[in-house]
Amino acid sequence: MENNIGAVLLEAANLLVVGMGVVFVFLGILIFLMKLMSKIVGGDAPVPAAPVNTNRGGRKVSSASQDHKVKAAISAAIHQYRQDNK
Amino acid sequence: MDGLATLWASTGIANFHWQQLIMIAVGFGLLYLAISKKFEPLLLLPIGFGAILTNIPVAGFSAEGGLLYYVYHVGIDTGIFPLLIFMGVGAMTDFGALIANPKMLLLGAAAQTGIFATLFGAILLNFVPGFDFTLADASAIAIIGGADGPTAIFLASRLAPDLLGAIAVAAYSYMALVPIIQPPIMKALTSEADRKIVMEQLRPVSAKEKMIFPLMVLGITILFLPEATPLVGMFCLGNLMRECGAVDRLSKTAQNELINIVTIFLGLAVGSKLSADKFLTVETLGILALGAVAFGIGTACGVLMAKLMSKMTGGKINPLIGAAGVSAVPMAARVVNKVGLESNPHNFLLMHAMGPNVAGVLGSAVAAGILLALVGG
Repeated sequence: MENNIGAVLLEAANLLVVGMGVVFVFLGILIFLMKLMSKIVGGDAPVPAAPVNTNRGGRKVSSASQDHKVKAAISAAIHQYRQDNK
Repeated sequence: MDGLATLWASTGIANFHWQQLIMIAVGFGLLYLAISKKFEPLLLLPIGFGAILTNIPVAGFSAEGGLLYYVYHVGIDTGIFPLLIFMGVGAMTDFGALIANPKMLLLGAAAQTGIFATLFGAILLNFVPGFDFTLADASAIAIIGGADGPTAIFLASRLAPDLLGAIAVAAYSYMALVPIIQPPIMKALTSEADRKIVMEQLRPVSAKEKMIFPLMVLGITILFLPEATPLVGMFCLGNLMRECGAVDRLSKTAQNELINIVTIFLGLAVGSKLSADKFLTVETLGILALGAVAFGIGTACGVLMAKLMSKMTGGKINPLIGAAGVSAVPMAARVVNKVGLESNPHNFLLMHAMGPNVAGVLGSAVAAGILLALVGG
């Protein structure tokens, strides 16, 4: 029995080394590819301009209406704060 | 008189075993944690209720033909529910912080040490009488260290279906306990000066990059680790739906209605595995202990890796963000932010921590794929 566990332990240790190795190699390749992609696609593209027409839902709204929303949120927050601190 | 006796024989009171009563109490305990303590309520509530239902005598919820039997069979036996959840998680995940700083993937990788070290620990537990974990069992338990519920359930359903209930409960409980488990480890491994490091602002990421990213991840998974493609593939599908901008309706469904519906059934199905004969064993205690260890080691390795990276970059990286490498999105990142604020009230680390955080999701999916490939075979 003890011997048996020893063998499984060895296998587990093996798994530890191989597993961590593969995780690092895999994500390392991904890092390399991501950097490559950013270079090719051009990571410096201005972000606010890009998503205007491409994404109507979610949190990305066109910048004009975002301004309104931000304003609304800020004034709501100020209002709330004043209410709470009377 | 005979009729009365028959009626008595069919009541719950006459048929209860004390183990079932204990498990129903466990179910109520989970309900309490979910409702009063807000511990991952979306999952622990259906799990707790499922645990109560499955331990009702006579009703036979989990016997062949019962409701929970079918829910489990359809959703977890086949692996479909965790994968659908993963698609939803993909649709909810913004990889912007990671694309802006790809090196953060290393932190997501380092935190997976918790998984593989725990695998070792689970086998070591076999020296204690009463434990008999096979390598497959140990792998399924170890994935708790990935701090990723759907991944843990998926792997457990493949490798150790008998332990699934305990593994799922441990995984979700520890995810809820992240704010308690992580800070002491983070503080022990970093100095006050470390924690004060302010990181430079992330560059903006274009929509195109965000769109190509999931396809790229899928591509290299196909090439190097096809065993992980069920998890990574569904994840990338959800993320592509989110980022491409062409299918907002599908993206919204995946991250709201669909994931909610699946969560209800996933919780019930996991709860159905909390039957007395499977849960009331010393192995459950072992699993709970190992889960905590896995979490601790993962956090520690993430922080240490971040420390190393901080040294190598000349102090541009705050080591705290390494703790976010154990997925648990977004809880772990919030914890990092909070601990960082304690040392420097003007230092907001949240966005920086989101990088390793989403990297951790990828990392644990990759680790699950490796375990499937090496142990599942």
